[in-house]
Amino acid sequence: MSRPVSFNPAQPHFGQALDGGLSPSRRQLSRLAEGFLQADQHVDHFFNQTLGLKKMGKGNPLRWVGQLGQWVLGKFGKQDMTVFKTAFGIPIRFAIPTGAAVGSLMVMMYWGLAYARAKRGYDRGLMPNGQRDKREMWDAIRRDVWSISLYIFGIGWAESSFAKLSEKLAGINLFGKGGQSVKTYSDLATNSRLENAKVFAAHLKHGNRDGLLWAAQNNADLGLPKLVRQRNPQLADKLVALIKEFRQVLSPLDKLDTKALNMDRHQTLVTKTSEKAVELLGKMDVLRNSFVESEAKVLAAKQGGAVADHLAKLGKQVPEFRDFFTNYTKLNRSPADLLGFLALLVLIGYAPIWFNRWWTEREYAKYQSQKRHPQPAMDRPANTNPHRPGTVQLQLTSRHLSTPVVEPAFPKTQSLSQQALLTGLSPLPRPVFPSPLQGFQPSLTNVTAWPPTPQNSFPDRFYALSPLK
Amino acid sequence: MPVSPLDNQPLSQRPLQAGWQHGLVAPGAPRKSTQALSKANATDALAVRFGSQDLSPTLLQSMGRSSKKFLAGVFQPATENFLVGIMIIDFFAVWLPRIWNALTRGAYEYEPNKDPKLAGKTGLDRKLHEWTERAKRLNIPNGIEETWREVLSGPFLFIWPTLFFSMAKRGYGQKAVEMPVPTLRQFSQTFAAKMKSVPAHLGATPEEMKTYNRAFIDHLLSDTTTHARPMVKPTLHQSELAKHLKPTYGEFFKSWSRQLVDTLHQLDESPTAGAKKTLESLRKQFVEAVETYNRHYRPEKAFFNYDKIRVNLLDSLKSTAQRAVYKDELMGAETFFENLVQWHDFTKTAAANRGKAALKHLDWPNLIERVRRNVTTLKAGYTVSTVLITTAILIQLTKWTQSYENYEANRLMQLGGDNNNASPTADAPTSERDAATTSPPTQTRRQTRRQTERLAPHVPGAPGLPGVPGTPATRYRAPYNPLSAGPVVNGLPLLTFSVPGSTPQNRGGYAFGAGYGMAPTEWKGGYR
Repeated sequence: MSRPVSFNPAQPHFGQALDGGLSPSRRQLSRLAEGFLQADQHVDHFFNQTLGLKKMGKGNPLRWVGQLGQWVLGKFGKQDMTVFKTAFGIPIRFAIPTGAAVGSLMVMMYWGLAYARAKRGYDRGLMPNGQRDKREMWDAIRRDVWSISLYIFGIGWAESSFAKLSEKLAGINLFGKGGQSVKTYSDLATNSRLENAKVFAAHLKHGNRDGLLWAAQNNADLGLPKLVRQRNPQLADKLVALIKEFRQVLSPLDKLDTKALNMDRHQTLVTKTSEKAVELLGKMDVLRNSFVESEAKVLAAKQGGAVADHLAKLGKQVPEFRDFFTNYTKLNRSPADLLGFLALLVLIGYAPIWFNRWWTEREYAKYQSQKRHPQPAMDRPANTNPHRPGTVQLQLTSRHLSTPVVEPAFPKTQSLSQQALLTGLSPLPRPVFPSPLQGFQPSLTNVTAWPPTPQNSFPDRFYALSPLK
Repeated sequence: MPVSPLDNQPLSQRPLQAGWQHGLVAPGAPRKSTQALSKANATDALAVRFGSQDLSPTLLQSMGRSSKKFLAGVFQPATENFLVGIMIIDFFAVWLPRIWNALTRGAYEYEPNKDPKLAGKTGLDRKLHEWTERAKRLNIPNGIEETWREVLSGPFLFIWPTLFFSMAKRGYGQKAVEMPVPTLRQFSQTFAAKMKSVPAHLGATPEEMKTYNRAFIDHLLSDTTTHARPMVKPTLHQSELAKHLKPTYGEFFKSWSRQLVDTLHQLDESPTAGAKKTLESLRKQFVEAVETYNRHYRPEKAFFNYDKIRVNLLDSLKSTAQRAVYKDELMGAETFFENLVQWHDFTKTAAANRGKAALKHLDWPNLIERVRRNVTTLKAGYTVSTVLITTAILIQLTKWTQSYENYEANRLMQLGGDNNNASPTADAPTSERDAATTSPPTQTRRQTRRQTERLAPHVPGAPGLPGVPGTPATRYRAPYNPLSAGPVVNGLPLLTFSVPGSTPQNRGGYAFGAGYGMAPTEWKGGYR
């Protein structure tokens, strides 16, 4: 939805004299609300007027930084929800936080998705040895921050990059006059209907000459609908003759330069050709309309149903000849969209996954190699666990040096396990835990009672000393 | 220009060309004329080749056109409707790759060479067996986690805002909350400026409101150049406008605005199908009229803006309290129509407020301003609430879906003595790891979990099944115990920095993990 007016908060305006009879605090609140919903315009005002960004020299790095800040904050400041559309045939108007509300989308996606997933990865990365496994957190950050940024900023980029390629290949103008974004399919449909000679000439002047000629040449875009040939060969012959004449009329345009200046120089040729071409299109459409109407009546008589319904159905099978360029522009935009979509598919979908997989395995291989080949003792910090090189550990020595060995987690765990065994349902072998009072001495009995097999995957720091190694 | 005699023959009588049986050329399609009309044709393959006599597309042309048509059919809604676009991208670029990755990352390896059951099997049987065995080894828990998370998070971005604004539309201002704030301000200030001349004592009955609104819409569409020009007959075969033509555009807009206001009031009273159909017809008429006008009177200037109309609005930069200055703004015809429908709800609210005793002291412009400010404030409130609640739901959704206390994707790549999964790890001896990875788990994780729950139903810290790969020992959290509030290494508590949000309760499984870790053979009584 377009936002037709630029808002400059510094200027006086008609509404300023009106306060709606509100109390000062309510007035303040409404100003705050309005400011929030148009924060992007305040951002622009701040950067352009207050900071004077536009006055800075083009080579000034501060200007680049400022422009980047303005762009990001400007996006973030878009909070006005204005797009309400139906989708997928569901009769509900969905509120779509995009366009003027892309800032809302940013908040929801960055915080609700990227932050939440990274935080969850951080939370559950705590290992039994007290260290933190941050692989999931970094997985989430790399994957989601990248893909969300592409969702918000990259879709337009992908569209326009490939549309430039399509413009050259199809000889059409997809951006309009000095436009930054690609015109939508609906815009193309509205713009490309060759209703009169002036519109035809405007297309020639605005970079659509090659496209028009190719579309006229291309049988699919300006061809004879199959249905006409099947049902009414005489009418088909007439249409074929008109199409051939149309091509003939357009052929002198082939020699013209596409530049607008030269088009103006050949104004007479352009005008005459356009008039003749549109006249021929008009004739074709008269034939087409008579065919469609008679066919609709025949079908209504044969199959039943309203003539209007048949007319609508046939209208799609036999498109109007004035719309042949509409079909051409729409169909030739679609490959660009496909390429853009594939690029996004790789960049959003597969690239972060491949990268994460490769990175995690690489990190794990590093970890394994460090474990198998520990660093020399000299390199370690003084208070390092000798069984886990590189791991710094602080011990509560004051308490433990003076008292018998107490492992606080065990009594609770043991009692819980005993509770489980007391239910009488468990066939689990009773684990033998060291007594907190007498300490623990390894013995063969203990090992057989609950053997620490690799399936139990006990920690590698114990595995280093294990007889099962 | 030479014309091939073949062109005059019906398609069925034309001779077949070489290569048609390979699908290169459609049977019966005429030969391509090799003679070029322009010099460009001879030199540049991309240049316009003009003058071909073919009027039936070749098979390749047909296929190309069909595929482009299909693509246009998919991409038109995807590029014009962000919801459709994001769901399509979500499905192909997020759901499929991420779910498949989740299933395959951390999956047990399957080596067909070591599988005795595969001996003697060939062909499809062998493949089926292989696929089944591979499927058994997929990382199902990780896949489930990923599926729920991804499938729910995309739609939730739209569901709550939709629900919230649907509720909001029934409250103050109704559909006016959907209007862009700058447009609402422009409309209301323009309306207020016009209503300055209306005495405050005049009421706001439906009839009176109709009069005000008609005058307002007439003012918006009062561009003098548009008004004076004669109306052009549209060339569309099935035109809505053709039946409602008037001598000039001015007259058309006048009669159109009356019909629009009447229809909107009628819809307020009884939203019948007929009234809705009329409204739709009025929309089509208006859009068609705007497009036809631009194509005929402004083909050069309005190129790529054929669907836009100049609307006469208050110039907020030049107007003052004493003097209202107007200027023309270009607006999309569809958007403008939609805004007029939303504006109708705004005026309804204003009329309802006019009757309130507390607001009797306000003149019309101030009343309009009050309603505008209220609508804007409410909209800001709705927006903030929507964003906050949706974000909170999404954060909670992540917690629900990632409810395992360990990251299943890394189950074969455990770091630092973790026993979050009693599954074969890379830390295990090579021979045993191989044995474990080539044979699938004896039972699924879900079965194991159920079994564990059955064995120890009331014990949150109950152990998994020793020796059973895939026992989710750390699915269960140890109860909070201040004495065991820190992680334990080699029998001694380890000092750690506290992390906001990280409590002993959500450090899933370490307490029990320490139980496993405290393997009797390894423990040497601590370091002291």
